Amino acid sequence: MALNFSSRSMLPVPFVHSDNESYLSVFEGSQICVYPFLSGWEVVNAFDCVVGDNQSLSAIDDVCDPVDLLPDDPFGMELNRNMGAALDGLFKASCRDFFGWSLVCSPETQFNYDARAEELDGWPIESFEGFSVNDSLDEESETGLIDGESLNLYCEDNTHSSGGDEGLPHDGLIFSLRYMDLRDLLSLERVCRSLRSAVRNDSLLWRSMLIDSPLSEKITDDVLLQLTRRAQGNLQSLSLIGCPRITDEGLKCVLDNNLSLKKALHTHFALESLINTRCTLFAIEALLSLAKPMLIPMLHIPGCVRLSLESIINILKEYQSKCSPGIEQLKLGRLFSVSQEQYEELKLLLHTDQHQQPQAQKLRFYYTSRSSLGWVDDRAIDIEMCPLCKKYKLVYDCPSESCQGRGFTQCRACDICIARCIQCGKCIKDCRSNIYPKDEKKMVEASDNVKNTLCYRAYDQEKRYKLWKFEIHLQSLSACQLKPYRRVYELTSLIYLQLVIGSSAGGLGAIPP
Amino acid sequence: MAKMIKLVSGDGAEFEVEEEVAFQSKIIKDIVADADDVIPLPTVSSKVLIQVIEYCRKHAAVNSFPLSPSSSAAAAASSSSSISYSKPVSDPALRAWDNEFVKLNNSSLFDIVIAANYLDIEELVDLVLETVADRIKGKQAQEIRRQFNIENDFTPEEEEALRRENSWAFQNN
Repeated sequence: MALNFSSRSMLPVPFVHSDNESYLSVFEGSQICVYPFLSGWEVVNAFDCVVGDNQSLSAIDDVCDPVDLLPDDPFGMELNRNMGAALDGLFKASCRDFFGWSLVCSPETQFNYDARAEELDGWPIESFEGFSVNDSLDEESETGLIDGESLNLYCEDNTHSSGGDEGLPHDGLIFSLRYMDLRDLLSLERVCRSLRSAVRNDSLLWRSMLIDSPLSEKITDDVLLQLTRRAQGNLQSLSLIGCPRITDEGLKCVLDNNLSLKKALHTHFALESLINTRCTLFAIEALLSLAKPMLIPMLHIPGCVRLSLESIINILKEYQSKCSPGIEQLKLGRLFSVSQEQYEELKLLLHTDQHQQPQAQKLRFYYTSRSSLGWVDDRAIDIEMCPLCKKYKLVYDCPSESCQGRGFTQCRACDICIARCIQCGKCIKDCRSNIYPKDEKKMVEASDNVKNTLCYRAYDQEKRYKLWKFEIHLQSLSACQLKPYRRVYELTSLIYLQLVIGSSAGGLGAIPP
Repeated sequence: MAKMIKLVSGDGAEFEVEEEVAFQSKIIKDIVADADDVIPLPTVSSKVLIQVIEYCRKHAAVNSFPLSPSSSAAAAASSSSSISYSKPVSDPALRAWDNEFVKLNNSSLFDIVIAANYLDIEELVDLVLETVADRIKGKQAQEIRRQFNIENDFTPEEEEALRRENSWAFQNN
């Protein structure tokens, strides 16, 4: 799906903001705001390419270490294969215990990579094909060098391996499956038969499904159903972060599949989170009606732009009247604007009066909210009244020592009132003072946490990235569908604008992309 | 004087370690409570046992000191990531040591994880498996085969079927 706007514009022109001109001019004039990936607009497809392929985007995630952005093998020398093959010839020939060697010569670790590169400095790589230590090695090294793939690179494998024969995956690899995300599991499935059956048949691996970018843009209903079936009824958590191709019917199918199995076992199905920008009212209703015999303790809908608060309240009313105790926690996130009456009504529906309010609420820091799944607390409803703007928002505390020292209520507000760093959660004014002082030396001494030097930049990039991503989603909607979201778009743009204006006012100069 | 526990590896070598070092392993802790202090470990080779003991020694030394407030805050912060299976190591120096420790080839790592799993040393198991997971992340099937020296035992038809099934995830269009 191509984006249909001029590649030279900073922002998509069809989304006419009432102050379009001034908006753009702020951007152009300040020379600060360039999206790091604007040059790629013309070749970008709406969802997939940019997220997956664009180098700068990965830069946002790996803000800390530019070295990680460097490609592994820029000149296509296939160092792993050739060197491994050459060295294996060495090992096989000398038949010694290479315990010491194993630390130096394993190709997959960076540390060893450098060591080996140093050793072989000055030897042209092409000559490895015919490399031999001395004449007596010729026989072995010849066979050893033909095909690097099937070689056993480390002598000690033959003597110490407890994983079975050469060619089969080690048992330890099966252990590691639970640390893999979805994409890697699918890659592993294609490696060999035992891994395929390990991946497919272990239902515990599929108990909790998190589908995030880049797969979220690609996954369809059928695939989702197929994958959730692997849980064999044990699906406990389903998180779909921005999956535009998942429809309500698909979701319903998934729930049908798992709930019916669960019903038979009379167990507790806790749908921990359902985050889907395309999630409509219908889906929520379907979910709740299907789940009537089950308990849904928490409803988590931070990204559901298609829902209006009124409809949520209506659904809740219906559900809570039929189920007891019903939904105990509601996480709304940042997209809803809640009036006081609505807030009171929600609190009533969630039985907050009946709950014992814990005296000391857990502190909420901005960075933990980035991945909203990670946030666990006891609050019935996640939003509250911001002390500064008096609106009902997500309110954050400040982890910086100076703010906490002045009392917990000091630096407490929504993230629009007090801008925060996404890396450490501290208020930006606190970070900024540590980042751009005139004296370079002072910068290191001043910060109690070296990460602060990245704070403002990371925050800026993250915000830009989020805004951009949101725009991509909006691109997929037609003009008439767009109208309700203009407000949301305005809101996110406002955050960005605040940032840009704030930075230029502070005299920071160009923020590096 | 600290109490010593004797561990005997699969090939008969004996290793004497301090109690607190050996107790990093929950299994050993349980055994010592019931029985005597000589613990045979027939499934663990000397080479692997040496490495495991090295890990335990380092972590026993660190665990004996209480966490400082800043490191406990860091621990709380890092545990908010979406995938975390054990308490993260909060001390940066220890983390750096751990990262050096796991710079081994795959087969050594696997041997260690099997031993650590047998001995029930949770942190070591997680450390090694996360390292292995990092080595796999983002790789295609062929690269994984090459790295871990796994034979492709699919028939061409099976391979084609798999490729078609999962093509949605790996296409870039």
